[in-house]
Amino acid sequence: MTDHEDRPLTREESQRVRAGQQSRANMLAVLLVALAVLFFAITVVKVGGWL
Amino acid sequence: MNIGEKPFAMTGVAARDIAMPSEWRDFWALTKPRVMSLVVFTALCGLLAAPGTINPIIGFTAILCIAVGAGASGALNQWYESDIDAKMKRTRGRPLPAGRMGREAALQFGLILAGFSVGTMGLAVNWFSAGLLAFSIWFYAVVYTMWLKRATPQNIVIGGAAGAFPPVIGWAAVTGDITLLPFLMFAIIFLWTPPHFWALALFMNSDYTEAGVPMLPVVKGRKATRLQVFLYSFPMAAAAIAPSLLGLAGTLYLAGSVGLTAIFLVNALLVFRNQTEDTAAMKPEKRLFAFSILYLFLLFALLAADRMFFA
Repeated sequence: MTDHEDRPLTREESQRVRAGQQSRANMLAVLLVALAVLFFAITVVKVGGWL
Repeated sequence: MNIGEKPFAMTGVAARDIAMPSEWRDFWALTKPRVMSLVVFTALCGLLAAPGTINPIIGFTAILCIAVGAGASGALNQWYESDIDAKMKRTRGRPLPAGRMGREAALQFGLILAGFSVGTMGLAVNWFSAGLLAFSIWFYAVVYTMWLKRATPQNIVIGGAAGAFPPVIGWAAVTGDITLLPFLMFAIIFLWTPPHFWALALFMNSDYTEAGVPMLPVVKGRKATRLQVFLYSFPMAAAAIAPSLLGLAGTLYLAGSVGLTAIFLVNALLVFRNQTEDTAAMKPEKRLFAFSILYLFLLFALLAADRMFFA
């Protein structure tokens, strides 16, 4: 949602923004670790010729 | 908020400068998780029914890529259809029409998922299945969503092809080619889609009318739609039983597919005979819609089990 107003964000709004950012950052971190593990495993399988 | 952290209100950031960041749950909703479950399941059945073996990690990667590709299709669909979604009760709570996400974010998310799924499929599995995956995403996002859906009451007939690709891609991930059985699996889902969606459209007619989507009941009326539901069930039934008749599946699948298809046909007949215009009295339509999902799950589970344990 884009708020097209000139007023500054209220405390509640800024807290919501921060909470949303935090939630996305946490999920991205989990996804990146999972992807690193997956690509490591794929590489081991490919290099090891265990297809 | 942590100690020492300034709220935006105190740092001079105006509301107009900030796009409310969508939560990860909104991005998850963008991928249409319920549709994805059927996609994953049929793809897995295609993979398991294929002759030969695949390393479990590569097999898992193939299914993951198909799921992410389906998620990309869902995100691109919701990006393009946010105007329609806003007009329908069933979809107005989605992240875009509800205002929890900007269209640009949805588009970027869909394109990233599409690129990731196709690229990873090609590098880790094989480029033939990656090509099929890319084609299915393009077909759903461009041919169905952008063109057919708003243009013709035959939208879901042709568009149904997009949902029929997953078992073929699962098969191709193992074998690197397509033979008669994956073609039949494609045909089953392709021919199953019209009775499944038209059953839904019959009792969701007002939603589609308000949104201006030319679904068959909106354009041709309920009577014609009920006839089409019934008629489409027959080629679907033939495709469902064909694997056993052609010697590509055994007795377990034959018995199961005949029994399940008979129940499907009875439900389709009850829809055909129902003449009500009152949504509350559309129990046969609701029953057919619910059973059609179970039908597809069971049919593909039986096919995979038959091929794995009795072939």
